[in-house]
Amino acid sequence: MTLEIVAVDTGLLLGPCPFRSLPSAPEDLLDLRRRAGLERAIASGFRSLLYFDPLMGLDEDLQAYAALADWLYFYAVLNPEFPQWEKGVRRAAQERQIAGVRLLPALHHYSLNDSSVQELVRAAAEAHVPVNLMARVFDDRIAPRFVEQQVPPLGEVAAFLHANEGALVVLSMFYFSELKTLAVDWSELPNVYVDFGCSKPNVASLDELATWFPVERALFGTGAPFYYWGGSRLGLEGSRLSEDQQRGLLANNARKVFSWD
Amino acid sequence: MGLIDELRRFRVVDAHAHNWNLFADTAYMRECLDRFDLQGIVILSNLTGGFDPEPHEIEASNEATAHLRDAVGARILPFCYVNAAHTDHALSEIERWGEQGFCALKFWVSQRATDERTYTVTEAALERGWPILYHSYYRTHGEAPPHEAPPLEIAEWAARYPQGQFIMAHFGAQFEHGLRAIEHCKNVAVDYSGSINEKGAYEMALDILGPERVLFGTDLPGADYYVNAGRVLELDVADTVKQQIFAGNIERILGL
Repeated sequence: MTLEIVAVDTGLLLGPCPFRSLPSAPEDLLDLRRRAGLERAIASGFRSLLYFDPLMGLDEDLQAYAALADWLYFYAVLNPEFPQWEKGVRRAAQERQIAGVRLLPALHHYSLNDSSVQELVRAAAEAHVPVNLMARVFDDRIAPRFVEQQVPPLGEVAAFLHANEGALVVLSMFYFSELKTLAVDWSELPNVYVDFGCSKPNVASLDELATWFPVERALFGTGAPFYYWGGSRLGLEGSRLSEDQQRGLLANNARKVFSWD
Repeated sequence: MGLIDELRRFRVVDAHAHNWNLFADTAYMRECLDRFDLQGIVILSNLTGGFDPEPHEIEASNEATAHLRDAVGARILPFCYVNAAHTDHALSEIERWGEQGFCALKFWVSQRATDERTYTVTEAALERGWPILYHSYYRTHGEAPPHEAPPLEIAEWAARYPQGQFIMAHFGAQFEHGLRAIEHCKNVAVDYSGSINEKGAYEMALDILGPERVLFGTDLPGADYYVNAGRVLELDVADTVKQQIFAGNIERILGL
């Protein structure tokens, strides 16, 4: 089966995972692309999420997936406390294959209020590089026991969004329950996009999305192949969002954010 | 063709749902059953009373399930909810609702699976020929409800009753742990209902348990129906296997 409506998956999680084997060899990803109808995708490899030096992990991913470079892009995971993060911002601005930079305070354990975070985001904004704030990698209840995942407090996230209104920010891996209680007025944050592909909706969450969030700023990242993509996709298809809204969420909104074509 | 069209090719019975929260509204729930084209939905409880419900709260929960079944009809598959810590009351609830067409038993987190009181109540349900669904979680982080049963306890409990038919809910949460724990318990089926979405869970369950022990459930309304169904559609297995998961296995277990 191949899906007719193309998608841009803004949140693949791939590569060698220390916790279980994933189907993420290049040929597996080609199969995923075919089945999920992916026009493009942005990924993070477990190497860049978990390495001490995330850019070393990124380089290994870029090399491992070079054959897929016509459609597979990467976030440069950066740790603002790690030396030379500036190099990652520069590379994201210059290299076609790097779609933006990604912050992961949940695993790198810093506060979004830290001055180094502000500095990094300012540098990204000046270079017109999107900044992804990833809430978590693992489900909070079943993360590997030796992984201390500290999801940033929602108050900190709200302050971060207000403090960086000049940057193009994408939130991902936040849950509906968190996003709906985030103390922000989304209409006043026109540069903030949210990835809803891994957001743990309840029976009505996706039906009601357009009542509280500007859906032209909603993206679709599934976390595949670490997470199931089919659920995220069917969740969207089955929702009461209009066909235009679904097409926007699946692909059109992402094309705008990442300035493709 | 979309995944929605793909889903329509299958008959679906949801083996794990609750009539709480948004589904306390019977009209909305009925609308969802129609919209999802569900042939049946297992109703486990409305969770009245939280982790350690009192007898009157258990009664209220079972009465709500019965009212829902009466209002909506045969698509509602009512399970009797009990707190085995109130053993005599649990036994009387089984008696009461057994006479009212309930078809199985549900344990949540009010007592451990290896508690003597659980055994007493289990035996009463098995005498009726009821299957038993037990919530089970192996959590690696966060505080668990005080009496939540982890998968290894489910295995020990099920092993005492080889004649019984049991369902371990949620694949035990952390799926490798949960599935390995009950791998050799032929009388334990599993459902992956809920919001945990890690790929590999269904694949491993099919591999080590076989297709006849894997059920489709959602944990509605707290989780999304389509998100749960999409995981099954994504599997690289024959349609016959997907049909077993979506409906065939729970129909066999409940004798539908």
